[in-house]
Amino acid sequence: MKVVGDNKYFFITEVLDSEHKGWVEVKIDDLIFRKLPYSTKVELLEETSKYQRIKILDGYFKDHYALLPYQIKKNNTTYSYLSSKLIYNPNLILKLKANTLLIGGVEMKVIFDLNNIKKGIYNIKFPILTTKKMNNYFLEMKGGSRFAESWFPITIADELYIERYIHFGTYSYGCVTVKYDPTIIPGPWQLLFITLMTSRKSNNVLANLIIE
Amino acid sequence: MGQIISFSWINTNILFLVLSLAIVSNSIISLFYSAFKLKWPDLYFSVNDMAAFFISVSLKRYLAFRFIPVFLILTVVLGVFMKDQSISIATSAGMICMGVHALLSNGKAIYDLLKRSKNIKIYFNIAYQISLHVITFIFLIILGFLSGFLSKTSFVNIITPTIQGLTDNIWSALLTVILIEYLRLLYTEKSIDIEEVIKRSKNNIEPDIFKMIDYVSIKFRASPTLLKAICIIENIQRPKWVRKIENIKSFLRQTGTYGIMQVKSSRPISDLVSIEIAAENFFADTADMKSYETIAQKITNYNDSVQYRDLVIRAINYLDPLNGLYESSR
Repeated sequence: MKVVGDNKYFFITEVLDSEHKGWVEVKIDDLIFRKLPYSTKVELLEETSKYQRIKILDGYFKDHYALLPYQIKKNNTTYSYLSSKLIYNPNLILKLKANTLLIGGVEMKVIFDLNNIKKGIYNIKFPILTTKKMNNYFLEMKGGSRFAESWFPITIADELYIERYIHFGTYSYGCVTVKYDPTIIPGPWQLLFITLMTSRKSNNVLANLIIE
Repeated sequence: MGQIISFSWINTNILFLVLSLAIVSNSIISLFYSAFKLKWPDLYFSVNDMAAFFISVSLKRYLAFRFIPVFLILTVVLGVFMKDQSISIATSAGMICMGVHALLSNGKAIYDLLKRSKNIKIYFNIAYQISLHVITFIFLIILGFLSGFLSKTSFVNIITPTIQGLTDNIWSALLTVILIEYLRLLYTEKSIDIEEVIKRSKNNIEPDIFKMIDYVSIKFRASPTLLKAICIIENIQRPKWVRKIENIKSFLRQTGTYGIMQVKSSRPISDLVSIEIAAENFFADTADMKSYETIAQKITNYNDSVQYRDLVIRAINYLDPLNGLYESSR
C-alpha cells in the first residue's frame, strides 16, 4: 500500500477510448458501483496493488470516497486512469439561437422547441448516462459518437427537478438535441462532449447555455 | 407365472445390465420431471408429496402425471435393452428399475414423514399419508413388472431400436450436429472486429510501456496517443513471446530489430529502451500534430506499409476521438 504524497490532485482522463466511452466504473463508499465521467477531479488517498482509493471532488458524488481500479494491471505493475494534467475552461458559454448552437467559433445544428424550453440562461450540469438505447449513434464513421449515451442536464437557477437535457441523436420533448447526421464526420457530439467536460463553472456546473 | 417372474437369471453380466438400466431409466425419469417442472411449473407437483393427491385438480390428472410417464419411459428403455433377454429377465429388470424409482420417491417420502422432516408437508393423518405412499410403492413395482412384460411384446419390439441401432442413431445425430455447426461457422459471414483486437492488445500491454510513453512524450514532445497506437499495433503483429524469441535469436545473429518498437540494433534491447529510441528518432515534435497527412507521413516514415499505417490510424481513433483522424475529413 502506498500513501500518496504532496501531489495528490488528479483527473480521470484515460477513459476516452471506445471501450470506456468517457466513463469509468468505481465503487462508491465500499457499497455501490457507479460510473464517473472524464475529467472528474479527485484526490488520491492511497494506492494498493488492486485499486486506487480516491476522494471525489466534483460531480454528483462530490465528497464521497471511491475505489478506482487500474486501467491496466499485469503482475505487480499498473497503469492508472488518472492524470495530473487537465486544463479547465472556467467560463464557457454556449449560445443557442434558431436551431444553431454556437460553441466558440463552431456551429452545430440542433433541434429544440421554444414552446417547451424557454429563453433564458441555463446551467449545464455534469452528464448522466442515459438509459435510452443509443446503439444507432455510436458509429463514428457515420457521424456518430462513442459519447452518445452521455446526456447533459440543463437547469435554470436552483431548479431541482431535471427533465431537460442537451443530448445527441433525435429530438426528444423539452430537450436540446444535437442533430445526428451520418454525413458529418467526425460527428459534432465528440467535440461538444470534450468541450463541456473540460469546462467548469462550479463543482457541478460545467458551463452556461444561453437560449435566445 | 414362474417363468415370467424369476430371479434364476442372476449372474454378473445380467446383474450389471439391470443395474445399469436402473440408473439409465431413473435418470431419464428424473430429466423428464425436471423438464416438465421447468416448462409447466403450474402443472407440476412433487411426486413425493402425497398431499398433491388431495390438492391436485383430479385423480385422473394425478394418475396420469405420476404413473404414465414412468411406465412409458421404462417400457421403451426395456424394449431397447431387453430384446435379447428372456421375459423373466425383462420383468425382473422392470420391477428392479421401478423399485429404485419408488425408493427414491415414495421411499424417501416415507422416510421424511417418519423423521418429521421439514422437506415434506404433513397433512392431517401421518399414518394415512404413509400408507398411501406404501400403496403407491407397491403399485409402482407392479407397473415395473408390466413394463417388462410389455417390452417383450412384438409391438414394442418393432417400435424400439436395437442397441446397435440406437448407438448408430446417436452417432449419426452427433456427427450431423458437428457437421452443421462447422458449416455454419464456415459460411457465416463474420468479419474480425478490429476494435476488439485493438482493445485486447491494449489491455495486454505491460503497464510500464505506457508509463514509458508518458515519460518520453514529455521528453521529446511526442504525441502519446500516436506512440500508444503504434505500440498496440506492434504488440498485435509481434506479441511479447515473439519478441522474446527474437532476443534469443540474437545469440546466433546479433544485429536485428528489437523491442516492441522494432528498433534496429546491433544487440538486443528491451521494449522500454526501444520506445525511447523510436520516440526520439521518429516521433519527436508530434505532440501538436493534428492533420491526417502529417501523422500518416510520420507513420509511413517508421513503417512504409499502407496496411500498417491504416491500422495505426484505427488505433489512434480508438484511443482518442480528439486526435481522431478520418479520411473523409481530409
